[in-house]
Amino acid sequence: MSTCNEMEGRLNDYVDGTLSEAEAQSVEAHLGSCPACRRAEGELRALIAGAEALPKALVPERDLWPGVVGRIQGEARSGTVRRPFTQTIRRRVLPFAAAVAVTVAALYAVAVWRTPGYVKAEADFMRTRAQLLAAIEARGERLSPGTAQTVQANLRVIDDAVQEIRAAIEDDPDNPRLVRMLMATRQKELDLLVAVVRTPQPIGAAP
Amino acid sequence: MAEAAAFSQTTGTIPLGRRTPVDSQPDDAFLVARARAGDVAAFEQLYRQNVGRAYALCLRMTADPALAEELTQEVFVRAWQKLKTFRGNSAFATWLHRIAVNVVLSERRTRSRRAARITTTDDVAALNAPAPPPTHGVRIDLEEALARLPEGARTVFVLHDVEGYRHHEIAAMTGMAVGTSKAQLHRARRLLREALR
Repeated sequence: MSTCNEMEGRLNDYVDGTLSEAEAQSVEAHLGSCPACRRAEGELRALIAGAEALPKALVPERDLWPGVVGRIQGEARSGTVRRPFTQTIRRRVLPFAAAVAVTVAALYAVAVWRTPGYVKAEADFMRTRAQLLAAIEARGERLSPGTAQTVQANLRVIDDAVQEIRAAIEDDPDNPRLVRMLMATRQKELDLLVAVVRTPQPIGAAP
Repeated sequence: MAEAAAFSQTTGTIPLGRRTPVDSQPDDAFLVARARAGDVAAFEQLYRQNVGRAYALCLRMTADPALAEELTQEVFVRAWQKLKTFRGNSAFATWLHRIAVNVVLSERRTRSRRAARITTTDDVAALNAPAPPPTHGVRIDLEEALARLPEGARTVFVLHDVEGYRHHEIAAMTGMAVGTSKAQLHRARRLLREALR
């Protein structure tokens, strides 16, 4: 006679029908005298039936064909299949953007206006910014018009702020508070861009 | 080039060849043959017929709708690339399904190596979006509970109990031992039973 502690694996095999006849009879003998294991058997069978009854097909929220045909037609032209840009962004640019944001913040924090450290921080920032903007443009059709306008308006505000701060630094290059202000503004811009790229569904779309 | 001309048409009907006499839907063998010859419109029909199944597999195995969409596209790009290797020994849907499993597992291995992405197991809201309307409580509960499973247990449960693969097939696809596959299945079932009580 089997014990309940031995039952889990054998009960799974029993409901899957993979036990030998003798093993199955042993399990049935235990089930005949154990209400807890009978209940477990019922739950297992219900679970398996539920899994089998799940719909075999689910409809994606958007039409994925344009992305497929774009890539296979690109393959025909170039001989290679391009990875979808959003995938590249998710896998490479976003982690890179996060790392660059930290690096930029650190470099801005210690750099003096227009020293090599500052120039590198600016270059890293601008490269990441360009990649994120390209990613947003690539998925532009998935942003609602209102959201796209809001994002663009915010970017313009940030750009204006950056220009004003840079002008102030030109006048007062030794002022560390201005450099920190520039760093914080750059950080806000990166945060905004990363947030837009990471948003899986159209922002502002009805739930 | 005929192939180049075919690429220019992404919609419309199949221009040439045999059609089924009564049903207006061409059969898979015909569509595959056309697609192998470079007919994108034929491949689009294969896509339309099979995208739901590929997406369901990707979604359930990843529990991440956005990633599932990307992987579904990857499945069909991969299928297009490999069409010449499709011998017709199995149904196109079966062949495609195996590609889908490989695409998901391959992405997972790459992700694990990079450790660049962490999939939370409690992102139930994200899974709800592409699911059918909540007209069947048990079904939604099971989908939600499935999305919360640890990745290894979820993978084996989906492949075994939802998709119908056997343990030796799962072992061959995933690289895990048969015993590990069984242990993960039992673990998944135990966790799901507890979640659904």
